[in-house]
Amino acid sequence: MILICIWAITTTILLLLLIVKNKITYRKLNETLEKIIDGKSITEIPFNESELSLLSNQLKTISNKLDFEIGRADSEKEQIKQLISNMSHQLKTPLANVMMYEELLDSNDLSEAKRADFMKKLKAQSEKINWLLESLFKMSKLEQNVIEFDITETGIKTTIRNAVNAVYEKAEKKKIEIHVADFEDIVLLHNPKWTSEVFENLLENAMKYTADSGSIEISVECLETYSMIHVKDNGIGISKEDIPYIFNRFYRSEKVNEIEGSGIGLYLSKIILEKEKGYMTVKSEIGKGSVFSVFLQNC
Amino acid sequence: MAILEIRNLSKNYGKGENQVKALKHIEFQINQGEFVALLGTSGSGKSTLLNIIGGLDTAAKGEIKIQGKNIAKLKAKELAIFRRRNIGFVFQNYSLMPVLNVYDNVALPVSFDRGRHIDHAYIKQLLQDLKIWDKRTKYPSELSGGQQQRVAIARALANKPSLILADEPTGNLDSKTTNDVISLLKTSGKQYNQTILMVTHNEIIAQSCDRIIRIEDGFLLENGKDGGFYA
Repeated sequence: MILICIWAITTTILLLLLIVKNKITYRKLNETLEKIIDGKSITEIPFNESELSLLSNQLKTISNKLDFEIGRADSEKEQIKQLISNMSHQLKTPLANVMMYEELLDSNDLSEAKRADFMKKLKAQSEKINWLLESLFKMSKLEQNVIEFDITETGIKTTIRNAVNAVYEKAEKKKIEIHVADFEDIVLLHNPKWTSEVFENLLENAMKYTADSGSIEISVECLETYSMIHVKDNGIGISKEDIPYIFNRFYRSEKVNEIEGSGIGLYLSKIILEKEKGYMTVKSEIGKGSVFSVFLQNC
Repeated sequence: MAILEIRNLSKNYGKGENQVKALKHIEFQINQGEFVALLGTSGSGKSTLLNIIGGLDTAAKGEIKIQGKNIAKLKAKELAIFRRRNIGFVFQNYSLMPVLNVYDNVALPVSFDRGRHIDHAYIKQLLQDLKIWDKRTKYPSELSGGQQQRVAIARALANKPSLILADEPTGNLDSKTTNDVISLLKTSGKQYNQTILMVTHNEIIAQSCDRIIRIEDGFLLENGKDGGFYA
């Protein structure tokens, strides 16, 4: 009888303790959640083996994630502001040129030869505006993920060949030799259309910054989970100070002010590769040339 | 937002005349989502710094704030719990459990917290992303060095830590495998929005990071600019 009594009392006490403990845990979690709701930082996290400690740590991670997303949204807003100002800047020069040629063509005392020349220049400038707008359009679509971007398991050979074909004529004109080192076709995770644009951009750049009768070499190297496609030129090279920035949107080195360019190509290539879980590195030496290496995942 | 903040950090070894000043007034911070290389020659203090940040060693002076928590003030027991919940490690020698298979090695850090839900779908995704899903029942001794390091990266990610510390992760690998492992570390870091601090003495590997912090003779030489060498 006495034993049963003692047993009953201890059980009751234990149960009560458990209820109190749960109440405390609940209250503490409640306090932490209130802090998150109010946007205050969580400071007092106990680090022990209790479940409360584990949950508080996870809550802390959630609140940090929220802060991070808020910060990211803010910086994106800033980027859009910059983009708009950059865009208007980019379009201003060709547009001013168009207006100038138009005015010149308007005057009556022009020889036929001059007129034809101005017409040609006017056309070149409108083409530039068209190209700029198209690139900006692509860029914003890719950035906002509104474009359909299918990643398929496709052989890389055709993708590279398409890119080479697209720039072939230009290369002929500049007497630049594009040499593709022989390689076995590999199936890589990529979007053929967009990736071919990446290689096209790299080849265009290589040609632009290489003197006439230079050479460009394309080679492919296969790793266990990734493959590398190198585009090597013997052009002017990129200085150490510029390299950290060349993949930024609209970045152009002051050293190439004379050469036409918009600072869109490499940035566009970067976002295309990011979507394919790939990336790109660059090695360069002034006066000797540059190697851009594209990394894409094997299937 | 800063995940890691180092303020005026110093570390000495030995006493009196034999005292070696391993780290001298180090200051820097790392923001969420960054992939940062800590570059220095052997003996520059880079591993000491990484061990202090990871709570594997203690600092003589200074503040090490991870997610706003100064870990220099934590007691040993608290530090161990903090570490396993908030920091993922990738070591040069992989440090996998030889008696556990690939899957269990990756799930191990999650199972340390009593009552914590093990998210099998997440671990499967990780193993697939790191291309070791078909090796999940193999033991570390049956894998190549590159594959073992990929398992270690998956293990570091499994816990969804605030910060991943990698100490010469490709130190034992040949140059081809190195490219491979760095590629996966980089892309999976971006994919899972992880912050990574990687110690290396290899300039070329460091260049694939968002930012390079250089350390020499215990001094911070250069706190690299933002923006990347990579795309």
